[in-house]
Amino acid sequence: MPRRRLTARDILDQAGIGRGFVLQRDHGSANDEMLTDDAEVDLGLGNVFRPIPRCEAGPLPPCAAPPKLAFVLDDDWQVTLIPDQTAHMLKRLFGLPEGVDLLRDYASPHDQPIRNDEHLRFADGCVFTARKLTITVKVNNQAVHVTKRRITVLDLKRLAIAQGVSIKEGCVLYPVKTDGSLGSALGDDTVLTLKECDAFNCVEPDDNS
Amino acid sequence: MKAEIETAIQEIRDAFGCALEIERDADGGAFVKALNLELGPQYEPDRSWVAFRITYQYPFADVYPHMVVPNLRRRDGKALGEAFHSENQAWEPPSGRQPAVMVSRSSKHRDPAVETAAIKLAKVLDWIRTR
Repeated sequence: MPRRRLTARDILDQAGIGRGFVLQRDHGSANDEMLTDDAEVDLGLGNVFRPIPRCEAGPLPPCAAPPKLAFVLDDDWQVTLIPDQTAHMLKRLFGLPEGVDLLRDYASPHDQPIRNDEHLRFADGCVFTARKLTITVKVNNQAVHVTKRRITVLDLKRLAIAQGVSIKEGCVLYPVKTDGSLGSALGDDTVLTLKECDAFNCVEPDDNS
Repeated sequence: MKAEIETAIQEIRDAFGCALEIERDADGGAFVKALNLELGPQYEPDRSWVAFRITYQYPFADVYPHMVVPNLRRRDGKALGEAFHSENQAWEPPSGRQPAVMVSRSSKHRDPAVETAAIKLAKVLDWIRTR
C-alpha cells in the first residue's frame, strides 16, 4: 500500500475489488470489524482484511480481540497477533535458519541487517527481506543447499541434480511431512516455499504394465 | 517377516495414517491391505482399500500390482482406462480370495534405496486420482 493510512475503499480498489463489496478487518475472534467505504484505516494496527458482499454487511457486535498482523518476507507472509517481535522471532516464524541476515525492506536501497535481539514493531513496517540465505533441504536423504526460499519444483530438481543427487528432471517429487507422512506429487511448475530441514522424495514415474 | 518389510509396513502407517491388515507369506514377505484410502470424486466408490504384496525380495523387488475394490467405476461412465484390469482379478492373501480391480503400474527404473513401498503406494494413488 502507498501509505499507512487509507480509506477502506482505497484498499478495496488496490485489491481490484468492486463496489459490491465492503471491507472487513480480520481480528483474532469470531467478531470482526466492518469498515464503511470512507472509514480511515490505519494499516499499522492490522493489515489482514476480507471483502464482504455489501448485501451481507450487517451490523456486528463490538470486537474486543486484536486485529491480525501479516508480516511479509520476500513475497511470503505469516499472520500473527503479536505486534512486537524480535528478528529471532521472525526468523522462526518464517522457518529461516539462524545465520540469515534479516532486513527491513524500506523504500530505499539502504536496508540494514537487523540483529537477532533487535525489537521490531509491526507499526514501523511489516515488510522484510532475507540476505545470505542458504536453506538446506533433503532430496532422497541427500542434502541440497538452496539460496532462495521460493523455488519451482523443476528448479529444485535441477539444483539437486547439480549437487549430485541421482535423479532426473522427469522424476516425481513428493514432500515428506514432519510427521513422516507423504504429501501428494508436486508438479514441475509448483512453487515451493522452503524451510530448513524440508525433505522430499524424488522417484522415477511408473509405467503401465 | 523380514526386518526390511516390517520397516516398510511402518513407513506405510506413518505415511498414510490408515488402518492396515497384514498377513505374512511363507517366504518372509507380507500381504498388505491399506483400508479406506481416497481415490477421488471421479470414482464410485470414492474410497477403497488398496492391497499389495511386499515380497521377500524387497527392497530389491518392485511392489506391484495394487488391488482395489471390485466394483470400482467412473462416475462419468467412461472406462477405467489404461492400467486398470477388472476381468477375473482377485486379491489373494492366505486368508482367502477376494474379487478386486488390479491397478498395474510398474516401476522399471526404481532405485531400491529411495522407492519404498510407501512411496510406491503414493505414486499409485496419485496416478488413480489424476485419471
